[in-house]
Formats: sequence, structure tokens, C-alpha cells
Amino acid sequence: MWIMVIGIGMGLVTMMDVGSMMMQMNPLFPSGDAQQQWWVYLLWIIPFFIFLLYGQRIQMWMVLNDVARSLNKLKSMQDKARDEAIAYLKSVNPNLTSTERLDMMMEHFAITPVDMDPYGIVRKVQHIIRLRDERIRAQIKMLVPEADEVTASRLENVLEIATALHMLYKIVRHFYLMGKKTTSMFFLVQLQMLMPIIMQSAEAFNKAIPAIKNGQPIGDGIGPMVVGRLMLNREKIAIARDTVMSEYEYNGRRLYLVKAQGPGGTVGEPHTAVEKIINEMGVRVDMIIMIDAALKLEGEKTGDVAEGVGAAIGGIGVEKYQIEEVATRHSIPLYAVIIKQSIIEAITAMRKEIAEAVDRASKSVFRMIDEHSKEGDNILIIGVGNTLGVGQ
Amino acid sequence: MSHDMKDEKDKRSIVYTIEECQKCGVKNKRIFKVGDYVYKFGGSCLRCNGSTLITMIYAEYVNGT
Repeated sequence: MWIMVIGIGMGLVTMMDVGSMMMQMNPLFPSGDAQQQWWVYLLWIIPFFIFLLYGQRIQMWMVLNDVARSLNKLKSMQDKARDEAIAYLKSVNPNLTSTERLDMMMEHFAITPVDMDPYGIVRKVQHIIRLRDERIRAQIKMLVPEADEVTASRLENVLEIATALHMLYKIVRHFYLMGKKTTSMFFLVQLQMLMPIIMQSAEAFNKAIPAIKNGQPIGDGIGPMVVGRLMLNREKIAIARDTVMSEYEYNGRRLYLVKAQGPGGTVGEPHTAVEKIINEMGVRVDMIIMIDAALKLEGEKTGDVAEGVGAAIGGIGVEKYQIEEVATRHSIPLYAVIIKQSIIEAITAMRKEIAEAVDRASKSVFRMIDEHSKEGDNILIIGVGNTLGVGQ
Repeated sequence: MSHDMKDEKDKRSIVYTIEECQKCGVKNKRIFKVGDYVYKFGGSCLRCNGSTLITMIYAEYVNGT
């Protein structure tokens, strides 16, 4: 009741204020002879009709301008990434004169297999992805034949970023031009709504280049960093492509450590390593622990460590599928330790907060081992992520 | 544009390498050099001349242009 009275009171005060304001703006709110004040009415009616008839066009023009501004920014980012890739290529191979092959590599594509009958699609995707990787590596070898493996892997990463930015630019340009050509608000408004996220990803790619060129660890490398520390001063064997494994005893348990081979910029093939350890080496694995960087939600703190269950691995799903498949077939519990970070932090030079999470992540791993396993168990620990700038 | 993204733009990063002596345990923080990588042995300790191991490489962000 009191609230209603106060509300009505405030309403009256506001109306009085508006009345006095209108008195001050008298020429715009005429109270005198209407014939003398006809132009004032026109001043209100003309814009009303303009907005009624051309409102959507004006809105579209504003949206087009907004998207065009972002598109120009995206183009400059794409050009910069291409120039950086060329500069890096030339620094490794000064005899390189033509950039034709590089441009062809940036246009390289992989066609995903047909999914009308999804049976066996993961194997098909894996086949295509492997073929694409091999093709890119072969092209890089042709461009820089003298480069060592670490330099070649960095170059591969730089080229991947340049290609990703190029694709992003082409897709946005396609929808922008489609919207312009068809004068369809639906195209443009959807694009405008997605632009902040697209620009954020482009910004992240752009910032990743210097770290990759210099071989600095990136946020995604925290998983390999945790496992790399455990591998120090231990014998390492190559278990899969770009992937190494070490063994050691801990409190009566046998630990099998797996990570991508550093310090090159590669993620290795942890899924192949799991398959080999269990199926080819015949190790009876009682527990798998995966350590990986994970995207944080807005508001969460960078470098926070969390524990859970399931396969902690990103990518298009091939690796995840294979690890889940093996774990399910052999009833092996899958545990995960994640280190939280944003998309930008994951692909740019590792932040202090993330690097300092190594100790906390290691503690989590050993607590899991102590709590969920017994003496005599075999435990597989996998450090997932790009091992750029992280050895072992 | 979100506040976080604006903040990111206003910052530049300096990448540091942290070396730890395997003998006396002293930690040394220096600017990153190309060729450094985490868990690389080979440097020498400034205090006892023992072998050092790179334990961390990280970026610190400072406000600036």
C-alpha cells in the first residue's frame, strides 16, 4: 500500500518536472497559434515517416558499417599473420624466393568423411587428419629442408595460425558479401552478433604468433609441463609419433608417464600411446589420469586446478574417442585434472598463474593415486596439450 | 567489447625464465632468451657455479603501450 502511494507521488512529481521542462522548450511544444507554428509539427512528422519507411535500411547500413569495420581489422590480422609466416620461413631458409607454395598451403583443405552412416566415422576422420598432417609436414620439409624437427614444428604451428586467420577472414567476408548482395538482415544481424566472439578468437591467434616463433611455452602446455617434470632424469622411449613414455615406481605402484615430445610445438598422439601400452605392450592398466588445460568460464580464476572424471582432451574428438574406447573395453577408470584458462591464455605465452599451477596439479595427481589405487597397480598418467617450449 | 578484452589490449607482456640450481637450490629470474625451454639443463649457478635447470618460463603482463 505504502509502496503504491510513494509510486503515485513520485509519478506526479515527475509529471510536474516534465511540464516545467516543456514550458522552457516552448518553441518545440507550441501552445499558441497552430498556424504560426506549423513547422514545429513538420519537425516531428518528417523523422517519424523517415524512420517508418527507411528504418530497416538505416539499421542495415549501421550493421553493415559495424561488420565492415571488424572485417577490415580481420584482414589486417590475416595479412600480418601471413607476413610473419613468410618472415619466419625466410629466417630459416634465406634462399626462399617464392611464397606461392605458402599461399597454396594456406588454401589447403581437408574434406570430412560422409556421416550419413556414422559407423566407423572416427577411423575415417583419423585417417584424413593424419593424411593432412603428413601432407603439411612434407610441404614444410620442402620449404625448409635444412630445418631441425623443433624449428619445423614451430613453423607448422605458425602456418596453422596463419591458415586459421585466413579461413576466419574468408568466412566472415563471405557472409558479409552475401548479406550485402541479398540485402538480408538475417545474414548481417547474425554475423554482427557473432563478431565479438570471432574477433576474440582472431585476437588470440594473432597474439599466439610471437610466442610460437620464439618457442615459448603456451598456456595449453601445462599438462605436458606437469608430466615432463616427473619424467626428468628418467629414461624416455618413443611410444607413438612425437610422443614419449617413461616408467617409474611410486609407493608400490608402477607409473607410466606419457607426453608429447618437447620442446617442439606438437601435441603428439596420446591416444595411440594408450592403445599401444595396453594392447601391444600388454600392460594391465588399473587407472588413467589425464592432465590438461581447460577453458575457464567467465569469472573463474586463471590457473585454478580442478579434479574430475572422464577423458580430458580437446581436438575434434578422435583422440578422445579412442581413449574412451580403450578405457571402456578394459573397464579402466578415467580421472582428469584440469588447469583453467581462457582461450587467449591457452594459445599465448604461458602466464605466471598457469605456470605456478604445476605444483598444485602434481599434488592432485598424487592424491588421486593414493586415494584411488592400491599397491601393485599400474597407473597411466598423460600430460595432454601442446608441448612447445617444454622438454622432459 | 568486454572489459577483459579492453584490459588485454592495454597490456604488454615480458617473458621470464626461472632457473633453479640443482646444487644449492637458488632460483634466478631473468628475461627469456630464444633457445630456452622448460626442463633444460646446462646453465651455471651465479652463486655456487652448479648446474641449473629451467623450471618455468612465463609471461608477466604490465600496463603500457
